[in-house]
Amino acid sequence: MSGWRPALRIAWREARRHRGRTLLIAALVALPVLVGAFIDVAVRTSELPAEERVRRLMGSTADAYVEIAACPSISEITYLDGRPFPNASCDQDRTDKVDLAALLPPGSTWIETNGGDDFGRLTHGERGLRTSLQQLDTSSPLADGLLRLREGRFPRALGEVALTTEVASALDVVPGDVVTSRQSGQVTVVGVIVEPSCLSCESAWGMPGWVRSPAAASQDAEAGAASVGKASKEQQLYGSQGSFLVDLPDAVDPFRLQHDLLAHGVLLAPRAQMLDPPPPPMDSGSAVDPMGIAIAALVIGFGLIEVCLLAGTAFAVGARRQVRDLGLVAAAGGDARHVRRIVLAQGVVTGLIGSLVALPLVIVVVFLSRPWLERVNGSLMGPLDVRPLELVPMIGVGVLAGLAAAMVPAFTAGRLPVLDALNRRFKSTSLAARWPRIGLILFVAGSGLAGVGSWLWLRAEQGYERTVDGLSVQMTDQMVQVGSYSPGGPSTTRYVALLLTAFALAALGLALLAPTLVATVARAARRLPLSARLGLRDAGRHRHRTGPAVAAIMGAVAGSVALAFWAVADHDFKDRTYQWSLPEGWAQVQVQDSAENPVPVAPGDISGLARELLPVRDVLRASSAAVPLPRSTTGNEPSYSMAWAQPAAGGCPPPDRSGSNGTVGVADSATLALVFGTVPAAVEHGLAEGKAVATDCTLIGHGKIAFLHEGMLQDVVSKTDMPKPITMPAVLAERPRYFGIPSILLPPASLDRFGLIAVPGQPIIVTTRTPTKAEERAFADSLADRYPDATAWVQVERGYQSDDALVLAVLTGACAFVTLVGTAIAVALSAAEARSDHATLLAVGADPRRRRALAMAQAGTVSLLGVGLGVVLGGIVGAAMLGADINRPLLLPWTTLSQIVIGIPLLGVVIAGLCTRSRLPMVRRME
Amino acid sequence: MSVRHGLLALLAEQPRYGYQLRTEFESRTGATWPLNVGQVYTTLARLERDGLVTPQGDDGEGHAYYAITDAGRAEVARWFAEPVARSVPPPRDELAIKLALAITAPGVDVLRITQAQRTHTLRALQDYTRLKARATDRDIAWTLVLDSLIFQAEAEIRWLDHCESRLARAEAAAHKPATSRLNPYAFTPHSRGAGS
Amino acid sequence: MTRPDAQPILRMVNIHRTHGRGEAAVHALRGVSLHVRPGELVAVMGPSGSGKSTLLTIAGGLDTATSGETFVEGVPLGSLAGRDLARVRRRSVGYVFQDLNLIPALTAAENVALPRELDGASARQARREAIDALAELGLGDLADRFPDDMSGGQQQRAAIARALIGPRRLVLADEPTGALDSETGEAVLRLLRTRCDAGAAGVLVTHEARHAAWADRVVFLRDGLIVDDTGGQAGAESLLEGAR
Repeated sequence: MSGWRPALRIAWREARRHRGRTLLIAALVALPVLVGAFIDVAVRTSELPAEERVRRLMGSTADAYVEIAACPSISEITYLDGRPFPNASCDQDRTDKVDLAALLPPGSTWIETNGGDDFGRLTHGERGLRTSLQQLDTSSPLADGLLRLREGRFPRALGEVALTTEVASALDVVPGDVVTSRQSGQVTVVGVIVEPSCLSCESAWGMPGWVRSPAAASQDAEAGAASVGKASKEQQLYGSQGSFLVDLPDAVDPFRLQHDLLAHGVLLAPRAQMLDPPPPPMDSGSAVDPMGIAIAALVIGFGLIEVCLLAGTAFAVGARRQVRDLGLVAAAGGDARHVRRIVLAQGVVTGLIGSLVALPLVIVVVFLSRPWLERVNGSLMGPLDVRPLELVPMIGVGVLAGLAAAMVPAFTAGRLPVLDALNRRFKSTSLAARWPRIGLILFVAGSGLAGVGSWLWLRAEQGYERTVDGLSVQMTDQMVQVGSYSPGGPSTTRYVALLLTAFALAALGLALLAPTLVATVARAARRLPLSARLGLRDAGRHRHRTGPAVAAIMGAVAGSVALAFWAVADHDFKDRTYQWSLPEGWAQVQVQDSAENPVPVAPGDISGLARELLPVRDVLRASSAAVPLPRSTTGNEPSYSMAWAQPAAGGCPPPDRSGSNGTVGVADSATLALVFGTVPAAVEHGLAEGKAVATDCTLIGHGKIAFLHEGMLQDVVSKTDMPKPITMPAVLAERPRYFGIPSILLPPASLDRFGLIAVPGQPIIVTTRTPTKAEERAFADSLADRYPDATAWVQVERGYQSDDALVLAVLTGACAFVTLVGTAIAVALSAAEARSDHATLLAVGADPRRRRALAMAQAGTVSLLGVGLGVVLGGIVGAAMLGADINRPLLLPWTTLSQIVIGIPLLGVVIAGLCTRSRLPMVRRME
Repeated sequence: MSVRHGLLALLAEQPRYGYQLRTEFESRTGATWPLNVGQVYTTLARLERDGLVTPQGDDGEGHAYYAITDAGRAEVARWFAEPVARSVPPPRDELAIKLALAITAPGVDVLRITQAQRTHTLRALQDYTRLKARATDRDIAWTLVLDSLIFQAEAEIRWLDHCESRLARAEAAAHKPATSRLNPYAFTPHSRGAGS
Repeated sequence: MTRPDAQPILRMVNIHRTHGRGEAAVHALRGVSLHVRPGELVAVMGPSGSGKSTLLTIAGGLDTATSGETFVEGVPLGSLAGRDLARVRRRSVGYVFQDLNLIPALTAAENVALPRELDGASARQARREAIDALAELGLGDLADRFPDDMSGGQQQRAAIARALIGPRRLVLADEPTGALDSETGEAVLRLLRTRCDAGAAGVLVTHEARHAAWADRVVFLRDGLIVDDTGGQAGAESLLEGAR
C-alpha cells in the first residue's frame, strides 16, 4: 500500500498537467465502458415496467383480459413473456360460439379488442394506401391506454376513424379530412394515433361495425342506421380467438371467475395476475447458443485488446517521458514495485476519469436519442431507466481496462536499471532482445497449427459427407424422405477451438514481432528522400511506441481481411448454389386474400396491365396436379394438396444435395408453353402415347417416373407403411431446373386414373429482358390497385441478391477507423516526443514543410506496416477457415484487399499531412 | 604602491595619526597584509615630500598628525578611477617558471609536480574557505578580500588542470614515450591529518 | 567536525569497476578505497572519465562493483538484492544530482517526504518530517510549491533535505552546483557543510576547486585510482602568514 499513495498522487497531477492527452487516452480506455453502459441503459429503458406492459395489453381501466380459446375447455393458464396462454389439448376445436353475457357476472361490461382482420385501401384524393382496418370501441373507458393519441381525438361514432401516423402522412390527411374505402364508404378522420408497440404499423381504427362487407355496407346505407356501434344482441356471440377487455362488478373475485371459466374454454386473466404473472412451469429457457456466446466473447475480447494496444502506446510514451522521474524515485529508495505502480497508477487514474465522464454522457445520449431508438425498436420506450447497481461496476471495468493497457509499459519501466533511467538511456535488455525470437516462433507455430487444424476439420467434414451420402442413397431407395435432407455436420466445437488458439498464437507472435519489423524496415531507409528517411528512422528508434500502434492496426485489418475472405467465398457459394425459381427476368405474380389463400387470377386478367408496364413476351400459368382434400369446418385450410415427384430408381444421380424434388404439373397448352416454349416433337409424341414428360433426368429411370400425393399418406402411421409411389411411363426432355416450374408433366387424360385434378397456378410473366426495379415497382403498384381487397405482389427473378457490398463497406470503414486512430496516436505522440529535434531542424534552416512531410512519413510507415501485417494475418485466418469448408472455395477478395492496402494508408498519410501544423512553436531545448 | 594609496585613501576620509593609519589599514583589509609602523612613517614621509599630505602637528608624544592636501585628494580620486595596471613584464610567477623548466628538463616528472602543487593549493583553499565560513554579513570587505585569495587559488588549480591535459595531448600527438607515464602510482598517506 | 573514533558510515574497500569485456573493456575504477565518517564531508575531484560518478553510484548501490566491497553503515551492499538495496537507499543513503532532482508533479514537501512514504510512513507523519526538514534549511515557506515555481538553488537545497530525511545520514552529491551560478552554488555548499557539521556524512563529486574546498578532505581521482588526498585540516591561520 505504501507505494500507491505517491504513485496515485503523481498520476493525478500529471493527468491535470496534460489535460488534452489525458482526455484522449481516457476516451480510448473508456470505450468499452461507453458501449456497455449505452447498451445497458438503452435496453433497460426499452424494457417496459409491468404497468406499462399490462397497459398496452389491457388498457388502464379494465379489470381482466378475456380470450376465447380454440379448445372447448382449458386445463390451465400459463404465462410466457407476460402474456397468458391457454394450456389445453383437444381432439376437436370448438365449433360453437360463446355467449359472453351468460358467462360473465351480471353488470360486467366489455369491449372486443381484435374485431376483424380486415384490409382495405383507403384513398384521399389522389393518394391511396392499403391498410389494416381495425375495430375498437374507443368511446369506452375500457379502451383507454391501448392506443396513444397524437392529434385530434378518438372516434366516438360510426363514420369516424383514427389513422396511425404512418397512414396519415402517406395519405397527407389531418383531422377533419375525409377518406374513403370500399368497406366503409366515406369516413371522417378525427384523430392521428400510434400503436405503442408498433410505431410503424399502418392501420385505421374505427368503432365496431365500421368495416362491413360491401353488401352489408349498402344495406346500412339504405337503412340509414347511425348506430353507435355498441354490440347488438346477435353480436354477443363470439367465436374462438376472440379477445376482450372486461370490467367486472366490484364484488366479484376475478380469480374465482378465472377458475370457473376454464371449463368453458374461456381464459380470463385478472389485472393483478397480469402485473405479476407466475413463472412458467418448465424452464422454457432461451436456448443458450454456445456459438453465439463464443462469437460475442470473441468480439468483446478483440475490442478490449485493441483498446489496450492503442492506449498502451500512449502509456508507453508517457512512461518514457517520465523515465527520469522514475529513476529519481528509484534513487530515493523505490524498488521495482514502486516504479511499476507509478505507471499503473496512471492507467487507473485515466480509466477512472474516462469512466466517470462516460457514464453521465451515456445517460444524456440515451435521453436525447430516445426518438431514434423508439423508431428502431418499433415501440414506445418507458421512462429513462438508470440502474446504478449495474452501471457502477462499469467504472470498475474502465479502471481495469486502464490497468491492463498500462501493464506492459509498467513492467518494462520496472525492469529498467536505475542508472539508465536517470540518464534517459534506453538500453534494450536481454529479455527485450528475446521477444522477437519468441514472436517468430509463436507466429510460425500458430500458422502451422492453423494449417493442421484446417486440414483436420476438412477431413472430418469429408468423412461426414461420405457417411451422409451413404445414408441418403439408402433413403433414396426407400423413398421415405419427403423434401430435402440437409446434413448438420460433424461436431465442430473442437476444431473451432483449435483454430481460435492457432489464430491467437499467430496474432500474438506478429504483435511481438512488430517492433523488430519496424526496426528492420527502418534500416531500408537509406535510399529514401530525407523526410521519409527521418520518418522511418524515428519509427524504428521509438519502437516502443510504433510497435503497439502497428499491432493494433494489424489486429483490425486482420479481422476485416479474414471476414472479407469469408464474405467473398460465401457469396460465390450462395451464387453457385442459388436455386432459381424461374428463368432470369421472369416474374411470378401472387395474389392472396386475407386468409392467405390464393385468389385465382387468369393470365388474361392482367396481361394487358403487364404489357403496358413490363417488357412482356407472354403471360402464362402452369397447372399443377393436385388431389382434392375434404373441406374443414373453419374453412381456412386449402382444399387440395399438390402431388410431388420422387427421384426415380435408375435415374441420373443428383448434382448436389439440394433435395427439392420437383412439382408435378399437367401438360395442358399453357403449361407446355411455359415449360418448353416451342414444344419438341418427342414430347408431343410421348404425350400422344399417354406418357408423362420429365424435364429432370433424376426423376426418370428405366423410362418411368414416380410421384406421391398427400392423399396417399393419410393412413400412414409409421415408416414401414410408406406407400409405394405412383409410377408411369414417361419421356425425358431435359430442361434447366426451376422450382417454380413443374418438372414432371402428366397427360391431362391420365388425371382421373389417379384421382387427381388440375389446379391452375398463379400467373407467370415471361419477359424479353429483365425488368428494371422501377418497372417492377410500377407494375406491383398497379397490381395492388387492380386487387384492392387482396394482397397482390410480383417478384422478378434476378438471381442471387446479396447485401455483401454494404457489409464489406462497413467492415472496411471499421478497420479504416481503427487504423486512423492508431496512426494518429503514433504520429501525435512522436511529434510530442521529438519537439527538440524539430527545434533543431528549424534552427538549422529546414523548411517548415519538413515537419509536415515528417508526420506524413511516420503515418505512412505505421499504417503500411500495420496494414501489411494485418493482410498477412487475415489471409492466414481466412485461408484456414475456408480450407476447412468444403462448400466455399478460397478466393482472393481483390476489391476489399486493394481498398485496404492502398486506400487506408493513403488516407492516413493525407490526414496526417492535413492535421500537422507546419509552423513550430518555440520550444526550450532542454526539457 | 598599494600601501601608499591605501594610506592616502584613509587620510582622505579624515586626518589621522600614523599609528591610527596602521590599525585602520589592517582592520579594513582583514590583517592579510600587516604593516609595521616604520613602513607607515616612511610612506607618510614620502607622501609629504610629494605634497600629497601635510603634517598637522603632533599629540605631544612625538606622534605626527597628518592631513591630506588637495593634490592628495586628486591623487586618490585618480587611483580609484583608473584600473589597476597589470605590470609589464608580469611579476615573476615561480610556479610558471618551475613548470616551464620542468617540461623541457629530462627526467623530471611533470605530473607529479602539478599534482603536488594542486594538493597544496587546495589545502590552502580549504583553509580560506573555513575562514569564510566563519565570517558574518557585516564583514563584506573582509570576505571579498578572502574571496580574492580563493579565486586566485582556484585559478591556479585550473591552470594546473589545463597544463596536464595540454601535455597529454601533445604527447599523444608526438607519439613519444611520456616522461611521466600515466600509470598509477601509489597513494602515500600524509603524515598529518587523518588518512584514509 | 569529524570524530576520529566514530565508525565510518561509508566504507569502500578496493573497488574495481569494469565495463565491457576483452579488448573494449573500460576500467572505470581500479582499486579505490574510501572511508567516510559521520560529520565528514569528502570531495572527489578529477578529470572527466576518471571514475568520479562511478564511485558515487557504487557507493549508493545504484551500480555494482566488479570486485571489492562496499559497506554502508556496516552492511555489505554486494550481498543485497534489488529490493534490499532500495531499502538501503530509503533509510541510509540519499542522492543529489546535478539538476532535475525533484519530481515535477510533486510539491517540495512531497518530494522531500518521498523516501519516508516509500518506506511506509503515514502521509501525515511523512509530511510533518518533510516540513520540519525544509524549515531547518530555511525553505519552510516553499513547502507547497511545485518545482516549476522554484529557483535552481531552492530545488537543490530541497533535494539535500530529501537526501537527509529520516534516518539517512549519508548524502552522495554528484556535481550539485553544476547548473547553478556561483553565489547559489556557494549557498548549497554551505548547506552541505552545515549538515555535515551536524553529524551527517557526505561525498561530493565536483570539478570546481572552490566548491571542493568546503570539504574536510579532497580526494583526487585519475584513471580509476586515487592519486592524492588533501588529508585532514591544517590550522587556518598559518597560511595567511605565508601570504605576505
